[in-house]
Amino acid sequence: MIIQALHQRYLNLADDPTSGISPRYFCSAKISYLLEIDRDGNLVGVRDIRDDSGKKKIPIVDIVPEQPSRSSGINPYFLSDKAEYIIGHYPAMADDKDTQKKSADARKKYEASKALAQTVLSDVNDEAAQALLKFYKKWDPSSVRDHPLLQDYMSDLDRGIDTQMAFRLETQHQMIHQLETVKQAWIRYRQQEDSASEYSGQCLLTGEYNVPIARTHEKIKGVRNAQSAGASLISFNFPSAESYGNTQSYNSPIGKDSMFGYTTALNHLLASPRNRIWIGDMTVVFWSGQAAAAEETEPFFASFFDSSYVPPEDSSVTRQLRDVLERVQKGAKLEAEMVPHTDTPFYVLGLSPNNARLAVRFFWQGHFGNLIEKLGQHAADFALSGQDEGFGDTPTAYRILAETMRVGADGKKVGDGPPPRLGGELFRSIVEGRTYPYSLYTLIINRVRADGMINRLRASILKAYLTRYGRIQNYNRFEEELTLSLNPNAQEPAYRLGRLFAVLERAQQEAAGGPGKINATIKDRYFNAASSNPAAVFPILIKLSQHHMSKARYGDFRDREMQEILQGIEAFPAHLDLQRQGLFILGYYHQKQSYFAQIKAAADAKLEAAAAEADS
Amino acid sequence: MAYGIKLHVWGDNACFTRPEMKVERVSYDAMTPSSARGILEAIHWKPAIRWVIDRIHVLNEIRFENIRRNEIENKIPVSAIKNAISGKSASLSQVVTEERQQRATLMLKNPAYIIEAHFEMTQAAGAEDSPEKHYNIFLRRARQGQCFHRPYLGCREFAAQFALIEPDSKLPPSYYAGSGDIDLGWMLHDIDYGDRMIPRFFRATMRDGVIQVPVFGERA
Repeated sequence: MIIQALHQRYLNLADDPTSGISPRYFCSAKISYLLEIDRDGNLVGVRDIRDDSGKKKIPIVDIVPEQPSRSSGINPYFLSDKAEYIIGHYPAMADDKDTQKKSADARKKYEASKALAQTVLSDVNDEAAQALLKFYKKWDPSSVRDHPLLQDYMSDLDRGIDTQMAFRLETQHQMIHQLETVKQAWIRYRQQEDSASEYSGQCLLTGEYNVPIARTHEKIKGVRNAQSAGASLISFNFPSAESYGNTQSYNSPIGKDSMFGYTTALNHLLASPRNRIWIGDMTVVFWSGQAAAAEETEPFFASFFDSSYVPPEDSSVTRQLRDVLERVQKGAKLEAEMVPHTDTPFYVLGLSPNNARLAVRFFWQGHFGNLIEKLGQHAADFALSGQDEGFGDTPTAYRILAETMRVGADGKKVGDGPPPRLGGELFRSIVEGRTYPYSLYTLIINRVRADGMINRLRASILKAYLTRYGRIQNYNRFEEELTLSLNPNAQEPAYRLGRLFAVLERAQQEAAGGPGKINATIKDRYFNAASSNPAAVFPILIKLSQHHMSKARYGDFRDREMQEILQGIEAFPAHLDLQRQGLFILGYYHQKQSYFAQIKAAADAKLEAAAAEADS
Repeated sequence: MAYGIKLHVWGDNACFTRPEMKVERVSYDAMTPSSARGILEAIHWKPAIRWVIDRIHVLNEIRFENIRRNEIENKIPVSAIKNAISGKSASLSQVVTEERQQRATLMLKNPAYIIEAHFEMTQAAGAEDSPEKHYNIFLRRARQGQCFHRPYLGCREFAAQFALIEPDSKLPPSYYAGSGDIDLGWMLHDIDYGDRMIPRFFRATMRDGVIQVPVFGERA
């Protein structure tokens, strides 16, 4: 499933020469410095090859001989490594004793690096390789701090970050690790090492028999909040996870080749902004099973969940997809032929770190068409009419989650972020088309209770939750209430009382001379009580409203509205449950929204009339 | 295969852990043959017989759910137990607070399967063991809900309910009936206890909700 899909992705990418994925026994790494040597092995130049076009110098990324993760001990990389391994560099410490210790350490590392180069390159008949061997013979790591060519870089090297170096023969353009003969020598060396594996068996990923099994797996980098050196997706780092006397990854026989494939593919995905998004504490990667469709489907998926992600180019397909979702939002049914790339396989994988391991939180595989169907459903459930607050589109997962946060006096979100698990649950419910998390619903109700703010997003979250819950549980009682805009015929008392509350508030405002004239309306004092225990509050409010109506200019209108709404209500319920509290809020929002719509329509009509007059 | 049996099993949850994801557990999409064998052995097993799984029917939609919980990271070492047996002093305790590991599980929700299987007589069978006898013992025990230990769906904590499907009765319908071939990837077949406990895998394909299990040890 997961590993298989990743391995398949590696195979697909490896077929494509432009993908930039590393071939077997190689990996991509950052290089900061280039050492130039002459044919006799003398160091004749040192260059900083970092990219300095931005604010910070960024090392270049190149494909180099494989660099397995180093945890402890001495483990040199071939031809491209940190300064301490390549030239035996050591930092000068305040204490002489410390410096000596560092120097001895670096010498050991240098010697290991030298030994590795000699083993791999001894039989290679190539002038660059031979020059390199001569360099290793001549170089004296104890004088590294005095070398004239290194002086300019010493302060950077002493800091020890990003000091990876590579070699080049001065007459050649390519770096030594890029030369074909050297690459071949490296592959031969590694293959020989692999065939000497102590354990072989059937690979659970490809099913091949008698393949050398990987004892440990490469680390996965780029999952948020995981250790920076990377975490393992497959590892057995405590005894109770082991069985049948196996240790480490022999517990799950995966061939060395397959291991390389899936880790490389996953690291590649995590490094690509087009294939990765963060939602709550979960890092999500997604990919299309077809290279041809990837350009269009992947950015679309990303932009649906992360508003900060701007697709590089608004292609015609992206527009087409947006159009599809918009139509669904307005209630149209989705037809298969409307969606491009319907049959493209698509994968979504959610990971979150746990100690030095990665846990799979979520995995979905299916066709792009299914996915669009689910996203469309989500868009339709969230659709709610309202004044345009600058986002006509379906809110991204990020914005939905942010609505559960406390709002400060300046209108900005403050305090702790949304609960960490909520993001993952919301994401799962969107992609799988299941009910939205209950905690999202209760959190929003709590926020409304606490700060009394009922905006379009909050109302649409409540509506979406109830709509989806009703559909999946086959509970159609609230169907009438869960509409795009006000439904005056809806009978549910909770909804009607919500509407009534909006009318009462409006009457009060009008009595005071219009909205915004009074600092505290009945909403600030009574909303919580009215939405949970209507019987205790509404009689007071209605009594109060009689004063407002007699005073206000449109009092009669409000009175009629009130009568109309109250017609369906026999008695004020003593208590509303959480579900009905949501309906109460929705009714309130719908009613208020209809006032805005009335005002807007009136203004539009006025403008039109004025325009018509000007024309005549 | 005159003595084939069909057993309906179901439960609230299941986790047929993938070996590659057994630390942060992720379940296979469907029941593995070794797990099915475990369920049958819980109902009836004697050294004289060996269960062979023929087919696994997937009845409900494959759905996943995620949980996290605290578990223990160590086992009590065998050497400590040996010491205790031989009368030396040994600590056989585990301290939860010091050995806590939080682990995630991606498990199946609402699983239900039909196991189709038969048994073979082993060399341990004596003169008093006949296939008829064991077949009838199994039928009687399964009908009455008897078991040596509670059968489970992949992990001990996911208890399995079971019911015998009588030889000529109708099978419950599968969610995947008529859905054609669905590739489930390589799946654990069983452990080869005869050969260094090597795990063997087979390519699982679900055709209309039915996974055909190959003969153990036969190369795909």
